[in-house]
Amino acid sequence: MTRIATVFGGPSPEHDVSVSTGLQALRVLPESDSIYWSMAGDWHLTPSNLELSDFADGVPKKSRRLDLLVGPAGGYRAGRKQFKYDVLVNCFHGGPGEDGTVQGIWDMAGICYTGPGAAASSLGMDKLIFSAAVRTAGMSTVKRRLITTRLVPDFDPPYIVKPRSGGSSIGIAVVDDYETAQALSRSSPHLMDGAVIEPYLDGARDLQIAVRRHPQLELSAIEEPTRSDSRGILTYREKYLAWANSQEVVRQLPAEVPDHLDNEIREQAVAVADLVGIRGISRVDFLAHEGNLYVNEINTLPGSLAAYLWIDPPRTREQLLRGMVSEALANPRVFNTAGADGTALRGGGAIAAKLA
Amino acid sequence: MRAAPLRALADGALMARFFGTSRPRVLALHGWGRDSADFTDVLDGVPAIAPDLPGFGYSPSPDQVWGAAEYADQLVRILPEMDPPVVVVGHSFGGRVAVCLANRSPGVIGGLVLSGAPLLRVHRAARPRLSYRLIRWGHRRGLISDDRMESIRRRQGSDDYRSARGVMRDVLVKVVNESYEEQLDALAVPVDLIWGADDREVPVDRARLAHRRLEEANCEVRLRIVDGVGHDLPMSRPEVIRQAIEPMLRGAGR
Repeated sequence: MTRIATVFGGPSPEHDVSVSTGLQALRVLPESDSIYWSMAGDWHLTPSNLELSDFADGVPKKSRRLDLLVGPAGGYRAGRKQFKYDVLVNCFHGGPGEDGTVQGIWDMAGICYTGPGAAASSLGMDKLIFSAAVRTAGMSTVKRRLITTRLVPDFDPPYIVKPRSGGSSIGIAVVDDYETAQALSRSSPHLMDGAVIEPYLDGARDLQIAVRRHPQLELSAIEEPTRSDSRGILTYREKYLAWANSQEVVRQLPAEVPDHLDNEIREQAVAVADLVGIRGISRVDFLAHEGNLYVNEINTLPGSLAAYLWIDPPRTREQLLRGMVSEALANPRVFNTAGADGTALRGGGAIAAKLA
Repeated sequence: MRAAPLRALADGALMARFFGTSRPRVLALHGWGRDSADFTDVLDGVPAIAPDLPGFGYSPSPDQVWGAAEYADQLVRILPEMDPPVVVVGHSFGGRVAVCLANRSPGVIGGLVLSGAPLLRVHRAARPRLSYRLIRWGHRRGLISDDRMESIRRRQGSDDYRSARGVMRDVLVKVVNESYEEQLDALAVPVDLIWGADDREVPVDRARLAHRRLEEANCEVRLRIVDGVGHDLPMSRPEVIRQAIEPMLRGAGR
């Protein structure tokens, strides 16, 4: 039997949402162990049947501290006891659980995991490089510029300010002028690792679709979250806390879009998935504005793993998660050493000669 | 209705939303843990500024443990952007700051509209339980780790306390222990107190207390109690706050 652990939490602003995604996955995969990454950065094996509130005050009771070791005999351990898992179900959102950091460590520990690998994760998280890659692939994006002391934006306010890296709406603001964008980028803890600026497209529609490439390429229904909130952008609360209370869900699913737009979204979502090299389920977010379609962002580990989007074709959470697990098992990271056969070492001569 | 975009004031120390088209005459101060977007419906079309108070919304936290008076000191930096006399709307924690601001800048402030604001402390802060005091002592001596102490702290205290981080937790402790007798006695501007009848966080009794005190100080004060509303009046009944602002702007309240 496949040994599975679901991992969630993490030192990220989206820690709480990740706990929710993780606990949902644990209910669907009852054989899975539960590994919690605390906000302080340490790992814990927790009981598998916990509720959200058990995590409200930090590490839950009856948890067992784990160490994560890299190397050929790596993995999770508690003292001498090794917890050997075939696959980790990655339920992190934002921060080092989504940006490739932990993926690199799992690769070095020889553990398989769901969701994209280190490089794809980091491409998906960096909004600036992602949009450059999308444009290179021939698709449209909104203008997106790095906020610096020197830049003069080549478009008019109001602007949307976003963290350069981050998968959620946390830290996003609509501002009146570039000075405010700069001031925010200096003071907001969410923007300190870099911030980007975009034009605020009044009346733009947000259209989102989930995509997976295993067991075969599939796209979900298209949803349109509504910008009902008085803050003028989809807030973190609207986008990610909706699960807490289904009354708060403000979305149209499936969205009403004309056929040509539907086709365009589906085509581009697949192109983006291939471009980034996703594994598991990603959600690709588009903006439709005055007859134009823009690729906005990709979320490679979306909240609740975007399970709610799979109404057409209908896919159960279990189908989706089992698909992700089998995809992860089929794609272990193998470090390639082909060509390093020692020839250059045996006939290479002395180092002193190279320094001469 | 969408909130106005943010604008940086006071060298970026305050992020604020501007409303209306003419020079602002209303300053709106939000409650604890909230932000300026709460006033979106209240201030639509009103010439107003609603700042995110430091440590909330998009404004950076103060670098020291501020009380309401220090918050007011910071807001003084906005007043040159405004046309006096300025009407200050203060909800809950924002009401504490509004009262201090009216004291700080008496010539500029022309009136106060306060909702759900705890202005007078009704009883002394309860001393923490002995067990908790012992744990705190142990933490100071290094016998209890920071992580453990944090976890214990978060099991104590109100939701606001548990949610507050860093310096804002100390600000909260300082602010909830403040009471503004002197500031109320010195108020020389009209004051509208508007309260939700079902406010559980700052019950109407506390509004009556402030009302009586202001009357005794010969302040022009009115208390309006709104039935069927709890603490979050600006969001649930924005028109009630609006209706109070308008006559004050016209000077009818004077």
